[in-house]
Amino acid sequence: MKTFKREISSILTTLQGSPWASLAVVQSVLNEYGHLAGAGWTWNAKRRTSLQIFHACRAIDTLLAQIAEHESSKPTTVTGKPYWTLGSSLRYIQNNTIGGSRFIPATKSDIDSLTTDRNSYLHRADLFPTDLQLQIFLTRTARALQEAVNFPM
Amino acid sequence: MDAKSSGGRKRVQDALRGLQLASLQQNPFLPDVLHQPDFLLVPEFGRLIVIYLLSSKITESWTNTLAQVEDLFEVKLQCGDATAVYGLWMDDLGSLMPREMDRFRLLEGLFDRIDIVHPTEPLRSLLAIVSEGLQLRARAELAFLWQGERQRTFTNLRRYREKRFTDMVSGSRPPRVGQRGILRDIEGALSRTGIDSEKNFHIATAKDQLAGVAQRNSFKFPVAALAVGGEPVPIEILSFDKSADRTRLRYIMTKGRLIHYGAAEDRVILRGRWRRPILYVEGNLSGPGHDPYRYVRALTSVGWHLVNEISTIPEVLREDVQA
Repeated sequence: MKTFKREISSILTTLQGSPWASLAVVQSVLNEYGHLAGAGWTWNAKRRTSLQIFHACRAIDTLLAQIAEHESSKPTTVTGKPYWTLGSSLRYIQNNTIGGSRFIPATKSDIDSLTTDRNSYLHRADLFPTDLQLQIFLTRTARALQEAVNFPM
Repeated sequence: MDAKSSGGRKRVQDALRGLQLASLQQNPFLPDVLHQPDFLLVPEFGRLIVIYLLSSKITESWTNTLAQVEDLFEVKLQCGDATAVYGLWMDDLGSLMPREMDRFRLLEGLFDRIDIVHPTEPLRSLLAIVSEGLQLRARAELAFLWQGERQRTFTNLRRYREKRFTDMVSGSRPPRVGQRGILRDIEGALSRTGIDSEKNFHIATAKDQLAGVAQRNSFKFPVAALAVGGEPVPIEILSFDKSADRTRLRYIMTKGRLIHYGAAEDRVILRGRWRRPILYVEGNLSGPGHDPYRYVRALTSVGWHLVNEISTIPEVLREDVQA
């Protein structure tokens, strides 16, 4: 049974140690990673991986949306959307930058893959990720998240 | 004595547990760090500290020292410039030879703080040292280095596409043992296409400047291609497979970074446009199963032009001039 405790713990710690941790809504992302850690203890493998992918998707979705939302709320920046998806947050960040920074192309490609994987696992019946696929998903998530929390606030 | 095997790690962990911290993780996992730190901690929300336990093994050779420097670069790039990197030196400094002391000074010049702790330091005084150490902030005077590297990484990965490196991470190509035969083949490939080469090519670096010692070190490359577009292009060789020690890989990463920096008067500066050095990879550069392109991506990010067929080196040299 893979709980990914180590990976999730590092994501949580780096997120807590980042300047973005001061945003109240980031607390919900931290909580979501807590749920992801808890999902690792679900006994049934299919149910476990479904929960893990579900929490991992919500956490990265919310974090990128918050970063894009925070930037778009500044008076001098491009106005954002009323509703953010992973794709629209990414497009906003890449097109308008966050304080002058954007994802490096390799990380952008990782987030594109996250979107594709997310769509497959959350929308296709009877499709479940394997532990390796989940680990790939979490590695890409951690890479994207760590780059995102380095953006200037 | 190795800091980790001597129980030093356990003692530091006990000391850290005795402090009021928002978060503490032993054995963290940062996906783009080739050698993971010992601890990751958050003293208060919004402040991240990374701890490496250091021992005299690290100063035994430049390869080991620069491998440790690579960890520092990777942590700063991945976790941000504001992340403070704290080293706990768990050995006796007095036993270091002068050359080893130069290496220690390089670490001291780059880490945000290094405290010296005797392996048998009583827990109480260890707690006092660590507690004082955790007040540290990232050193502002080194921000140019991390920012320069972030910018270079961005540029180097702009045209990075995994599929171009598929044959470097697939299959099982055992590396040849020893560099001599490989070097002969590279020189042969260059001379057949009319490219002059120079063996044992040296490049001065900012390494000594960063260590605050007199300039006496340079990076040595087994061979450099001369007179293609006017500038010599250093060529390095890496024999690698899944069982290979990653210390040399980390060393080559730092080498790829630091050759882009030079010393001007009292300052370390980013050199102007520089021909991309070539890294000939013998064997298989595949990373862990969940991230097979990890090493390819890391090496590309620091500026190496990766090649795994000797016959393509002359072509790469000419393409790079035209690019």
